[in-house]
Amino acid sequence: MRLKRIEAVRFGALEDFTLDGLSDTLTVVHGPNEAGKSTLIALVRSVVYGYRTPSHRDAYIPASGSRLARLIFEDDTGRWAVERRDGTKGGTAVVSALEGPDRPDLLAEISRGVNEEAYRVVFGFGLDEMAKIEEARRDQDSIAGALYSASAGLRVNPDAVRKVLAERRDKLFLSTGDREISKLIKALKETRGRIQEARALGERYEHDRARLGQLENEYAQLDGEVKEAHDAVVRLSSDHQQAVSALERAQQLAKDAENASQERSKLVAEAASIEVDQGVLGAADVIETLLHQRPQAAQAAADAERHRERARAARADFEQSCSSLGLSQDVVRSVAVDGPLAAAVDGALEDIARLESGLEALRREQARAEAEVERADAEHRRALEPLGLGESVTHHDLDRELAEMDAGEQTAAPAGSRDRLLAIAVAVLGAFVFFAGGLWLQETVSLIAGPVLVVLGLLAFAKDLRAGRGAGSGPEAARRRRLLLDARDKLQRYEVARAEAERAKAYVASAETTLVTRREILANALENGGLPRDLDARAASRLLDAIRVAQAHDAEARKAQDEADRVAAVAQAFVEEVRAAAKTAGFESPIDSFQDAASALAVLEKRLHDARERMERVHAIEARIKELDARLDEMRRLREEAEAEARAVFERYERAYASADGLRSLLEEAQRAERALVARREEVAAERSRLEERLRSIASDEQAAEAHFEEAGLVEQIEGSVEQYAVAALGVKLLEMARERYERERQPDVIKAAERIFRDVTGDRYQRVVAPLDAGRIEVLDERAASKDTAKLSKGTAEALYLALRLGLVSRLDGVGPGLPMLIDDVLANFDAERLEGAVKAIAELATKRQVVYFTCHDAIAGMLTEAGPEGTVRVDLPGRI
Amino acid sequence: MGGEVRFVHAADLHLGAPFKGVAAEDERVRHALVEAPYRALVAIVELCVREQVDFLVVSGDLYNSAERPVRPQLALADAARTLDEAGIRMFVVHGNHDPASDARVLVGLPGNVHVFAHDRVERVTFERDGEVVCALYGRSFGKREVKENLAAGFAREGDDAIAIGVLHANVGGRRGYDDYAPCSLADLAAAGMDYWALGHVHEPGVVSETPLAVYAGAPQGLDPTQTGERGCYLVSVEPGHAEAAFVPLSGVVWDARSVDVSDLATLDAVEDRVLEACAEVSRTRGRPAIVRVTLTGRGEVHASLAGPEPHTTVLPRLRERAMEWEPWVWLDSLVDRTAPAVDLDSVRSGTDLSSDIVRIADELMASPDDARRLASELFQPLRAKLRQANLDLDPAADAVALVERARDLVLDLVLAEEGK
Repeated sequence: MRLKRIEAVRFGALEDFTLDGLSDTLTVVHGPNEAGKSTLIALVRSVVYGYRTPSHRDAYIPASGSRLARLIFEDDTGRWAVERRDGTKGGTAVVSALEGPDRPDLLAEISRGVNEEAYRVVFGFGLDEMAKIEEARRDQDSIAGALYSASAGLRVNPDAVRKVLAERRDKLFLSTGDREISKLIKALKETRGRIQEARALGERYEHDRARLGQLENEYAQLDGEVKEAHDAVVRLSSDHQQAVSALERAQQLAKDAENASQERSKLVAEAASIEVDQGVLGAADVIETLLHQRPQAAQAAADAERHRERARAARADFEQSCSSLGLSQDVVRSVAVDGPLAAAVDGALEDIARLESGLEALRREQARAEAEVERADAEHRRALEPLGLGESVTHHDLDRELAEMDAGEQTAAPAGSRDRLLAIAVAVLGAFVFFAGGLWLQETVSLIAGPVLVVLGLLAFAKDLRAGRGAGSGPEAARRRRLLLDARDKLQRYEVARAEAERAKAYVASAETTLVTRREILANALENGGLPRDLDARAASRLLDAIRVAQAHDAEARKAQDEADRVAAVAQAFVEEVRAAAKTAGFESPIDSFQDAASALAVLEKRLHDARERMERVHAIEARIKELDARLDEMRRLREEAEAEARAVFERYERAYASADGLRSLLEEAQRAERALVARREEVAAERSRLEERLRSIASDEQAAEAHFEEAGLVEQIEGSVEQYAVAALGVKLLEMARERYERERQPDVIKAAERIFRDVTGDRYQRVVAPLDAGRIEVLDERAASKDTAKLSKGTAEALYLALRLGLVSRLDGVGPGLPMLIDDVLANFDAERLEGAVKAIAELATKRQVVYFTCHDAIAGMLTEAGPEGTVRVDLPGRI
Repeated sequence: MGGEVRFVHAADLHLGAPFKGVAAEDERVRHALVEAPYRALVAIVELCVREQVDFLVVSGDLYNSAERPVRPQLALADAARTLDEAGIRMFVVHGNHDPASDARVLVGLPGNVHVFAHDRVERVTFERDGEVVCALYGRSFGKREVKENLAAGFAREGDDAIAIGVLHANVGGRRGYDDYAPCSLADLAAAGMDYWALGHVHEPGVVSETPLAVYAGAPQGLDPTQTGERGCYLVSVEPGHAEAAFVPLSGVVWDARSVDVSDLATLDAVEDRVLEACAEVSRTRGRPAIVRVTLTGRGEVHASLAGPEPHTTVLPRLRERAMEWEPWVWLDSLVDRTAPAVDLDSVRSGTDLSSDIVRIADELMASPDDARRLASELFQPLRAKLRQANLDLDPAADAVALVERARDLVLDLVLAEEGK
């Protein structure tokens, strides 16, 4: 794989710049300073490994737009463009095939085994990077490792692996650091300390149990003492309370007795001051009875008056009725209104009314019959007029004429028929002759005779018809017949109506006669009853009703008066009794009427009430006095008991405490003692509880079990970590041993190649290059075998050594970074002519194995390289500064 | 004397023993582990009561340490009291972990408990209805390190209808266990016992059929090496015949699985396979389990396993999921013993740095002394640090294996770098 073209679309100062036509062997790019040579080297590195972040010194940010660069690679199978676009994480590289198959992994293939730093130091370098090849080795960082591994055919950097392993190892344990294993050991010590503590607790078990026993005893003793103290306090408290209570009770009883005594005195005085009306109390039963009867008596008096008033009103009504009837009171009283007279009047009233009604109906019937006669008469007259008959005609006349007309019609009808049949036969014969003889036989006679016969027959027929319609059977006759029949009918109706009218007239006359007779009978009855006979039925009936009312008023008046008299007697008896009672009670006022009696009774009632109230008051006072006497006796007894109770309590104590105050001070003292004992018992209980908890903890073995588990877990972890450490440490050691073996057995090839180049470059002034295994430095031996390290070499010689090392190394990297060209930036500038020649020769020789692009601003160097370069060497002259 | 006796034979309760080799970060797991030995003791007592046995025999190491913390003593006293209430006696010998001379009695045991003497073989009879049914012979450890053949002091008395020997001892020089009270099967046979109730070895098992000699084993596994079912034996002995049936009791089972991941390429696939292995443990064990999984095989996923992710992400996720099961499984550790998917012969024959590494490793592995010397030199500061912390860890102990793993690690990283 060879790099054929470098394209900078936008990269640093380069824009749309192309370096084309790169040789497979050596390309010498000549251009002035600032022509962009370093930029091109950075571009190649950036496309392969990614752009630096914008903040980096070597970011090569263009003046405008984002970075975009492209490399064109080529081999025997095709051409590919590797384009890197700007973006995060170095941007995105896209490989596209220009010719040949797709090779998406081309970039990885090209740079295989060479990381960016190694590339910078070994493949694409300038003067600034010259010394780094030694620094890298000295620092044992990834560059040297990468180069070694690359040269050894490894695709990984053993230093990277070693670093990972060493980190893993050191993370687990460092003799001077506080790493995982040390931390675990520390934790283990703490856990074991806790186990010891738990063990020590166990050691104290017996002691604690003994102490617990003591505490139990002490607690039990204290509990008893507290109980005793409490009992004493309770007892004292009870006695004190009892004594105080008894004394207070006695005191209160004395006070109550004094009050009761005073009350009694007042009551006695009050009873003596009350006067009682004995008189009224003597008549109390009678008065009570009268008071009970008073409502009935009052009712009787009121009823009597009401009955009297009713009698008066009835009498006035009777008198008024008699006056209205115009009859004397005696007459009125004498009329037997409910006897035969009343029946006669009522019967007449009904009969006459019915008769009058029937008469009226008959009269209306008569009038209707007479009107019918008039209407029938008019109609029959109008029926006779068209016939030309007079009013005197009878229905016999009409029947006769009709009979005559019927006879005429029966004779005329058979002759007419025969004639008409003959006429028709003649006409038919004529037609036969005409058709048979004339038309069929062609008889001329027949032709003439036939029609003649037809005409004759038809004429005869017509004449007969006209004759039949005259005489009794014509239209005129029919009309007259109808008129005659109508007249006979109308005449007949008239005669029937006249007969009806006569019959109605007779009925009316009969009814009138009956009515007159009935009225006469009524008049006779009234007269017999003492009443005027000229009264019609209705008037008579009304008079009887009025008399009946008047008689009722009269009866009512008498009845009311009787009732008034009866109830007045009851009231009067009450008055008499009141009078007698009043006299008994010493009430002197006269009592004549019911009102007087009522007033007197009210006075007596009031006096009786007052007398009774006073008597009740006297009785109540007497009862209260009796009650007070009993209470006074009881209070005296109770006071004596209370005083005795208090004395009994005091007697139980010494004289000094035999009082309420003495007992109180004794009680307070006992309470203090009890509190002290309770407090001590609580202390003991708390200590016992703590001890029990500790013993329980010891018994349950929780702390020790937990610690043992922790210990087991920690030991497990330590064992695991120790094992991991051992493996990691041995891994590091294996790597170191392998590298040592590599350096010992294989590095000489690289050093020998570098040594040869260095010798050529220095014109054999320096014979050997030495890279000790255990040192980071590089030494050279001059022709006198004197050893010099690089710090003692001149700048040019040191640079020649560094170049020789690179050329020697790259010459051995056959399969490493197979597509990477060496891009060298004017590193020969400080070489003198002699070294320059050797160096040019060495570069030219390397270019036969690996593509080399050499950038220089020195025309002479460019010329030397171009001239010394192998076949295919190309020189490119850049146009000028960018 | 005559009749049959039935009893429970337990040993190596190791009450108060801290669990070793486990990093139980989950509270449930810690709690289960702390409680497990005590629950096993309760289970033994319940078995005795349920089976209405004549007595319980405990063949040493009741406590894990001579100092005998309080809780174990309380637990044992409670158990003895429960047995006493059920009319069941308890015969005990002390072992190397709780020798009689160091006994620190904080809590007294009830009268139904008999502790055999440590200075002689003691014979004790068991009576039923006033008649001697059998004789028990036992001897406790007087001190931690008993090098004497205690079994040799056992001899059946002539009129014993049934004779039972109770001893804490290493029979036949069992590897992995301190060689205390060493004895042989012949020693046991010579004593003439009908049944030997042995303690000291934590794996349960029959040592000899005639006479029937049984290691009851620890009723609860105490560290990741004590995998599998643990419990005690229900024994019935009649003159001339003895039978013992194992009764699993442990509340938590330890398990170890090796999972080949050579055919897997991703951590997700590894996670699924490990989860399957854990699920199988949960299914088959039927009780909470603590599992160590070792990943093996040479394959593609080796590089991914070498990174931190398996421990920072995969392991916590696996633990979380497995703890959701019933019964739960605690994935104690996920040990990577896989190898990179490289053809070592091919690398070895090359001329590059990798080939140098492989060849250097080959040379070291071929010469373990050189490897150990290199490792010792390399780990000197770390060893000093570990010694200072009283940690009995020698990072250079298996230097050859370390070299191999270091080689693989370096190759992993080289391959990873190449893959970038």
